[in-house]
Amino acid sequence: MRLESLRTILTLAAIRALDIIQFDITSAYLHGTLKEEVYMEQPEGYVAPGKKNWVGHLKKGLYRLVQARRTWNEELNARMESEGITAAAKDPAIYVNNSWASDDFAQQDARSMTASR
Amino acid sequence: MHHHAPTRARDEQASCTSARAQEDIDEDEEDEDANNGSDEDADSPARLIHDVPRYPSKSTRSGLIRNEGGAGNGAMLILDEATHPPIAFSAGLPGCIQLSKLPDPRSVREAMASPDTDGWKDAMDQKKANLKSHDVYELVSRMNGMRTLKLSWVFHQKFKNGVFEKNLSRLVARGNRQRPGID
Repeated sequence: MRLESLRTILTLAAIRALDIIQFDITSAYLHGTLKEEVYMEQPEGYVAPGKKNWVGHLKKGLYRLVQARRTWNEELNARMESEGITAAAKDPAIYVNNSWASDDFAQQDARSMTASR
Repeated sequence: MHHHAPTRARDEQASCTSARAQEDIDEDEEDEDANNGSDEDADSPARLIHDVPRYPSKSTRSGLIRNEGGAGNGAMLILDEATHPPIAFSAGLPGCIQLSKLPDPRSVREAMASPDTDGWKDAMDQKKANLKSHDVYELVSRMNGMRTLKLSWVFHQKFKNGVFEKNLSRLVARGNRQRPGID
């Protein structure tokens, strides 16, 4: 997220006396479903007994996997859109809940929701 | 105008001087503080202890401050036990303030050789369970010409407000060894 976006959101929240909730999505990359066919060796210390030569068919992202970041973002984006929450044009790290927000931002019940990463 | 200009100039000069004077005072105060710090020895609630046990450290990948000095260069700040929680010397015990710490192990082998083998084992078991619950991978038998990603375990001691919280581990892909279009 751009720093300007964060400032804007904090400012809006302050003006409207909205609550700000901060949260972290744990093991975010493990939520993204891979589209590519990727195989991995078995994790050190956890090789399945009697299956030494087997490999892992990787279905979700792992940290440092090149495509994990994109995969995770696609997952998040799809989930958000299914809830009617869309990425802002000027900063895709900002998601706006269209059912809450009104066209006129000056209206009292305008709210916005963000997710970063 | 002519009459006022010099006055203003003098005022500016005066304020400049006073600002500089203020700075000098601040500096003096800082110097004094520094002296006080080094003068306190026996009565000081905090003292430096050297010769903290040390095991290999090199990587700075996780961005943590590490002890890169030679053997026995580790320094640890010990606070007065009456007013502060006990200090964890080694891998850290929950609820202990630890201002300096052993470096995170860089491999499974290092983790298993560290003073907190069990802690790291638990961390790995937890991560493995986490991978399983997210259905991250499925075992298949290896086929000819199959390219497999290399993995590595990353270990990390988590602190919260300077207090050791837990050991964390994470299974990462050696993404740097992926090749575009192949993996």
